[in-house]
Amino acid sequence: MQNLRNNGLISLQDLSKQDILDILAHAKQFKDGMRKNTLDGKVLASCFFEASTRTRLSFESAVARLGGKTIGFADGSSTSQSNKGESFVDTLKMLNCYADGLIMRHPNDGAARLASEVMNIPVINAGDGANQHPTQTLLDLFSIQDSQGQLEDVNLGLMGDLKYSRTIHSLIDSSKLFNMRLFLIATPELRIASEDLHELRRHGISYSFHSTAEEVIERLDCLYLTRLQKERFNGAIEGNYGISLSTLDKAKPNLKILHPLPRLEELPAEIDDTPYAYYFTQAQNGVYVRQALLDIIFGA
Amino acid sequence: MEKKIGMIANGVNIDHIPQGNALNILRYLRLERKYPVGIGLNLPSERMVIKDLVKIENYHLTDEQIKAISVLAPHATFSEIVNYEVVRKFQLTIPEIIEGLVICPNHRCVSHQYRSKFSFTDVSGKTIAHCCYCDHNYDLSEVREFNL
Repeated sequence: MQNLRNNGLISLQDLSKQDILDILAHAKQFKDGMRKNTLDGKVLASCFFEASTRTRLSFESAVARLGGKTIGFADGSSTSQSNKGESFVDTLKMLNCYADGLIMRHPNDGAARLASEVMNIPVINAGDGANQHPTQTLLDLFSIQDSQGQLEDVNLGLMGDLKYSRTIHSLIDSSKLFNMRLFLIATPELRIASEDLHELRRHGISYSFHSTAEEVIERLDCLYLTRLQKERFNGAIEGNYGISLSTLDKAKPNLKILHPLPRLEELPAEIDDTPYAYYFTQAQNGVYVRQALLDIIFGA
Repeated sequence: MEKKIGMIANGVNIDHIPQGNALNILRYLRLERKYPVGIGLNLPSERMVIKDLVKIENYHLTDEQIKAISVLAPHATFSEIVNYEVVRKFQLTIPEIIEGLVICPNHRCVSHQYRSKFSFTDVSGKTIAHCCYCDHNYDLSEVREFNL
């Protein structure tokens, strides 16, 4: 993982399969109780130019658990960039003077890559527009591995907004590394983008299309649900893009339901008390994965 | 050296420019008014069916300008003329990377707040332009906006 050490993480494409497995193994050590003070005496800038409750708080929790401190802001509205017209690059150069590393969420695609070019401290991408959110994918992979005991050959159902969801796009991208079997559950309007389909075919990934979770629930190890991004649609979406308790009638005992959160009606609260609900554990896993990543980047 | 070209004694000739791109080249170069310029638009071409052509008298291009024109007019033929003699002639090749010239068609791309950076690869006869920031890929022949 030499490419990570002191460099940060911009895109999952920058990691090899072995890098990913090493990060997940390290995260497991944190989950099992390992404690480290890697960030003792270090200050990390946690700069969220757009709000993201879970990502920001789990990063800041990870920094604190490693003995570090954070400075920064929870949304971009109170910055000089927003109020005084400061350029984004000037803001980055200023942050470069104040912190030992930058954790950044930004609404524009490619913002993290640009930050890594103009700064000489490690930059960790906490989501740049519709482009990349590598730590979300890492925690999703960790959650699949931790709940199933393996990443290879998992039967993974992807359900909801398969067309526009960044997390779905990244999971599809990762599935080729781990030979997952994909069950793509969506209404016709929300089926995966043609580029993703092309990639699946190119890499020989097994997949099938379905319109409801009930059709395939008895075959799934994990069911990954996403929120419907209603702001992208003019009209109502016809069909079923969520689940209910009865959906799980024929579920395998090992089935786990994952969701990047926040959730809407696609994942009703009545599921929370079933043994299949894993999404809050998944959110908790985000802290361990981010601890692991920070420990690798800033470790000696 | 090779044959004489037209009426140019000294200068550059850019031939086999994809149709519609000659004016982009002139916009990019921002020539002072003292340089005589010949422009051919929509000319018949054996190689391209229809092409554009630009001749600029008493003007020579820097390597940086040639690199940019390679993106504006992929695979055009460049000739440099000195005293009616062609002293250099070659087909332009797309550079690996160019900064600041191509405007990323992705309106959410951060390059709109800074400067663009594109890399290029040839895939099945098409030149694919890759935005180094937002990671989107485009067929270069479909890219319409440049910083000129």
